[in-house]
Amino acid sequence: MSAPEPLLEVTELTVSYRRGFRRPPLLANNGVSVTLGRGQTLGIVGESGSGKSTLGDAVLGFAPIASGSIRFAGEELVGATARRRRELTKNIQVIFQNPYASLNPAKPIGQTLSEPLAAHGLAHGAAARERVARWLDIVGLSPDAAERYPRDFSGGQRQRIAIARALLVEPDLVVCDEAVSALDLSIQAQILNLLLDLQARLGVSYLFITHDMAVVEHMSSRIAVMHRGLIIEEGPAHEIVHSPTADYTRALLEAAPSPDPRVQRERRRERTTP
Amino acid sequence: MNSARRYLRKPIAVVALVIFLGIVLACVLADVIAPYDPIAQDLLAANSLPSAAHPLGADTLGRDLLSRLLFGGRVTLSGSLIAVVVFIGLGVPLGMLAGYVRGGLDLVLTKVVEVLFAVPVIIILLVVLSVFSQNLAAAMVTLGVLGFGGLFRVVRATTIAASGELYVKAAKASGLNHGAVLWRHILPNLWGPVIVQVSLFAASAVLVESGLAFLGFSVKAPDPSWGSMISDASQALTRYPWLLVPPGVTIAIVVLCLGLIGDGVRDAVSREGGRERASGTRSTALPARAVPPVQSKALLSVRDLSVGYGSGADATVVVRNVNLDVMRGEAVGIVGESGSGKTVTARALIGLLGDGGRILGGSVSFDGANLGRLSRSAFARLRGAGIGFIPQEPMNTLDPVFTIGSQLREVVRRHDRSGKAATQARARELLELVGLPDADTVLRKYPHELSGGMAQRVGIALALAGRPKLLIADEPTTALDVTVQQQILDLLVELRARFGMALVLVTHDWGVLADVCDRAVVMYAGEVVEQAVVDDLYTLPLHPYTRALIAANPHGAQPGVALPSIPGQVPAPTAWPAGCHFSNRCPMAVDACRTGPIPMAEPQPGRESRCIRVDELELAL
Repeated sequence: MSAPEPLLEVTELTVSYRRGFRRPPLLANNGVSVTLGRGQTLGIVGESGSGKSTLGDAVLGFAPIASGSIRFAGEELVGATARRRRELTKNIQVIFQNPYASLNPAKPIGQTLSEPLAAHGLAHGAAARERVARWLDIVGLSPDAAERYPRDFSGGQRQRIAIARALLVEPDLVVCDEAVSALDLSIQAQILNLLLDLQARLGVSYLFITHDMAVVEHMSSRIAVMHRGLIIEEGPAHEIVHSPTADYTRALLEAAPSPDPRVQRERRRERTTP
Repeated sequence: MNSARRYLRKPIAVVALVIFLGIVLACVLADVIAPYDPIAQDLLAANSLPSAAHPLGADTLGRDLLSRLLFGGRVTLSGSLIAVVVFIGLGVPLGMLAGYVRGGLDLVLTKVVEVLFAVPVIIILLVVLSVFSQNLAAAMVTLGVLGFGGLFRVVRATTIAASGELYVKAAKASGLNHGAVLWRHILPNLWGPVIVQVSLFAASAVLVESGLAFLGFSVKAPDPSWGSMISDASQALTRYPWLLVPPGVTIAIVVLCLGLIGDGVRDAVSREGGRERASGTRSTALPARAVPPVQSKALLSVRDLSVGYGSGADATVVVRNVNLDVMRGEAVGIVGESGSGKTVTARALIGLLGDGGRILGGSVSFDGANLGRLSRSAFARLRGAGIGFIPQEPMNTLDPVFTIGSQLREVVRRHDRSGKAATQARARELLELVGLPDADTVLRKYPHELSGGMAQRVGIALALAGRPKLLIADEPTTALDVTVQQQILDLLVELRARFGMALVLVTHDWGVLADVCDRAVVMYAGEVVEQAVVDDLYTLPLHPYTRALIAANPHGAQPGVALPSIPGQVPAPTAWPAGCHFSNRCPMAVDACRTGPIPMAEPQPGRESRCIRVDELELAL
């Protein structure tokens, strides 16, 4: 029995940004390879400048790909036409970090949410309104939210709206780019639970990009650690977190302080006494 | 339309709009309302001043000035309209295209516009008019073409800015095509700037038309236009100066009105956008409470601190009755979520509340001196008396136009009143203290040349300049990567050990709290809800909120399993429940929790919890 085809297969991906006159281009991704199965979550963890968000942008079609391949459900995305990329947004969606900036402040929520439905010809008029209302309910907001504006909502509520926008076209893959990083702990827990619940119900896959080791361990089946445009280490989440092989991964894990004061005191003692 | 309502609230702009529309309407209806034919001569009335028969007087040939003004306005205004239509028709689409597509097209269009800016407008207009004799329309089209560059640049810049917005990226990711993105998400951003540009250009078009008419290029005599009326008047300027007044004043009024309309629109739209709606305010009487006596042994002892925003009876209380003691050399963490009041509390301690923030009550003693009732000025004195402050984003608090050296030396001079050499030596010493060994290089750098971690070290050096006994740090590592955070926390721990400084650390991160602090003060919705040594707090939290918050941390939770989350969200200061502020989210809340303010309980020596069911919490676990 052959292994089922992965939903997303990124091979030797190189993304390079021009930096202007006489400066060498920036290799934001330098030969990155990852795979993500259906209904699974692949965590991409790293610090700022590691290229983790660039990988998400490349999958979404927002990054200048220099070489390599991105296969989605067997289809090559590198070199796909703009029209095809647009069609693929039905299958590949995104949730951004900043829920304050990712919603147009001048448009009521209902309009923002019905845009993807109209763009893909999935529903119009009353049918679209009905579907928007159903999704507002799924993400835990009241149906009258459709008439209100982003400024009427808190950060956590806006992130719920962003989740509804990403999932109401029922995509196969959602890129979560630091989707909970701007949220408080108690709200973050609500949103993580919502994402897990939706995954269980819809079988959606997440490319979960974050800098937070605790969050990525909680959400992911596999984790890839990135540093300076390279994958340092990749494997099952438990292994990466509890028995990392790369020095960088270990440094990253140790740098994040434990909330347990006794554990943390022990760690500090170990680190600072030679 | 919020911006329309905001425009209507500006009386000057409304008056300008009404006058302008009135003039336009009068010109349009000239056939109906003009008392005479504009070219009919009444030589008996020639050069007359205003009278019942001729409300604005009559010119040298006895033609009624009001009638000429109304009919002449048609020529002037329609000419200006042609120029404006061309101006918008070229400027908006080309500007959007250049700003959205960028690349080669943008480069070409931008260069073309730059060339247009270098073209002498009046000379070209005169050339056009010499080819198309007396053809005002051709001249005005030319004016629009030559002038659209200004609008193009504004539209292009606005489009580029809007294209960078995350919601535009999100719309593209939703599958909208370029047309829909431009139409729905970018065009709405353009209205304000475009209307401002158009009003200014329309004003100059009126002036250009008048100028051309004055030179005799606009209409054939005897037909009127505002410019030709001025031309006629100038012939008899010394004998009959009144003739100049009606057309001159009309042109001035129209130009002025257009300018004021543009101003009003700019003000109306500049405040538009996703700003938070000002929340309603309410006055909250501060309930009288038993306040524990000031701790005489403490370095800093704050009693009954309350902070509000707004003034008088409308003040919204955001921090209520906070008691805080910091012992010498002790590290106290203030931990909580957004809206808990932790940052406001820390900022109040150094008298750095933002706009409208006020200390409503409380008292403080520091280092053995009772400073009495709290006020901004009392805290300002505290800053000099040994409290250093480390801000969250050091990059924003450093002045970008001065070197690190000059900013650090300024602070050192203020504290030490030292000479040049001593100041420089102290600045170098401070940088070495915070782990920037190549001090001379750093002193010469500008803030933008530093990394985030280096900038935070400089921020700490600035805080250390006054040899403080207490450092207050407001989320000092939140903006940093985790490995850089570790270095900064190491530095704070080391500095404390070396100088025996006390530390008040505001954070939302339980890991940072556990790493650096001895004791923690947990805040929720403007109140301290629990206070304990960090070990006790983590092993046995004695407030339902603390317990729920620790449980919601994914650290150490079972992967993939739902986290125990707290339903709802932190209430805004105007919506605090009457009783316990946490009662509407608390799984243990009973009726007694909702009736009145909850007193602080002392379940164990040295521990505090603002919960009436604290005994049950002690048993459960």
